[in-house]
Amino acid sequence: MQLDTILSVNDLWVNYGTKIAVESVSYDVQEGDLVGVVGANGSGKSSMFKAILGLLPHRGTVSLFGRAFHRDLLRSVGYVPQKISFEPMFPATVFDVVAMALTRATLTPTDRRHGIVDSDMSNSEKVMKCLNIVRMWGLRHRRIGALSGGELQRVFIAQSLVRNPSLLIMDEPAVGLDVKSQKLFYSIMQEANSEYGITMIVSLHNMDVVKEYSNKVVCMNRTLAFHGKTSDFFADEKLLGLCTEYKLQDRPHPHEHSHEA
Amino acid sequence: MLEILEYSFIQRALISGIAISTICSMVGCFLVMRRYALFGDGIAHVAFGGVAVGLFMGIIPFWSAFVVSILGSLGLQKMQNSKVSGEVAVAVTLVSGLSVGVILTSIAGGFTLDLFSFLFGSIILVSTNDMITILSISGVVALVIILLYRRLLFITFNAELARVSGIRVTLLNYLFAVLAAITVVVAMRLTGILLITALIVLPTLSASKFNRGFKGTMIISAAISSSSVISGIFISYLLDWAPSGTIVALLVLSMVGVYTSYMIMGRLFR
Repeated sequence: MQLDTILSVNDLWVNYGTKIAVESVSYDVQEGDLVGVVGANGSGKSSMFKAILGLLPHRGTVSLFGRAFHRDLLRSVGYVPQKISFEPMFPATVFDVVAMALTRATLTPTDRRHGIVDSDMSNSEKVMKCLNIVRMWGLRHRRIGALSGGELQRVFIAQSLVRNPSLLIMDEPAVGLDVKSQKLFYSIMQEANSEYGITMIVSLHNMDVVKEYSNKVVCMNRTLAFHGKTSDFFADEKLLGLCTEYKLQDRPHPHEHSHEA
Repeated sequence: MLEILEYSFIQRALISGIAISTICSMVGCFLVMRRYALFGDGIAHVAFGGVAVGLFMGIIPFWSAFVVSILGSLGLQKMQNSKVSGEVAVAVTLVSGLSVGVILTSIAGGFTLDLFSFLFGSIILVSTNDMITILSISGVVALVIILLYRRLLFITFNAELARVSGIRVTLLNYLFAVLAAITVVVAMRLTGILLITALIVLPTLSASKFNRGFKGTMIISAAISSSSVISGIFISYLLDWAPSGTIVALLVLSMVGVYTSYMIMGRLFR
């Protein structure tokens, strides 16, 4: 069966002044894929995500759902950034934070083949369903500033899901979470992909997680070092080493120690 | 004591004061939660420049301040879009407006009674026409905020997430800056340029302790602010104090009271 191309990145470049963060990256993502994006810190993963989402100036083209990038297409895209900053005394509960994504400006077109929420559901029902999926319904009245890191990540996933996205991009979503929270997080990620058909692009550091959950791998090394099936990626030890240890010795370190080979 | 309600100037002051305090609370909630509490102060000083332009050129100062403040707010927002930090942008805007005001005032031969009334407020002197203008402008500001409530809320919580969700963040930020500038100009009549920040910041800080969500915080903030305005006008009339100072002193006392109660309750139920 021919699957639709959800995302197509073609010759993407991102610069910060004279420093090149992403260099000529091209790949496609098909419907239903769970793509693990790997690469050492500073390899351009976050810059690539932000360029795809139109948050960073870039060269090259990005197509979403077979159409050239346009702001309105983002209505069908969910995004969970690496770190979300907000005013700690922000007077909103978990429920409020998820519900605030439900404005007419953000709602996804209803012609989705798959979906977490139905268009005939009330806003409260949509929020309830998404909070149940991320196991946060019990904490719906909790003030957002009072949540732990793992709980916050789950709320932001629910906030993305409530708009019924076709594509969900997550940038190192499990960093800083304890083992139990990570496990819960990955099971939610898999459920959203397999049960609700949401295509996912997730940057991950843990290679065991990549192996277990993703069907495709994008390996960043500022340029695109690899794009293909997960099994092919793990079959190539040299590639695996390149992507995870990318020039570690050459990168600036805030701490004093050496990286012996 | 209630016979003072029979005076039409007190009635006008109360009606205008409640309208102003309500929109200041609405705008203030968004500004404080955006960590942009001093936006009002920056725009108020630009408004001072606008008032001086009006007095210098023989235009009604309210309207010259209105136009200059809107332009100042757009400039402030433009600086923010260019990655200039909020406090730096406010500082630049504040001193620019103030310098224009001081120069024009000195050319015009010093401070006049009109200028003093804009610096320290003159809610008691509000005419029927002023009251109608204040009510109309407040109504428009409140209506736009109600219509765009969810979008503004999402942007205030996290602009990046809102942008990725398809919300026109830049456009709405400019629109909100204009709404905030209009609010500041209208509020000049109540507390004056020098005390405007109190109306925008203090009630929101007090209300945020009640833990009643964003909308609830806005409503409680408006209630605290309106009560302080009503009490302030009564007290200032009875004791012959300046209304603006009295209102702001009551807002400070409310905040101290709320924070103290919050601390005591926290210790009792720990």
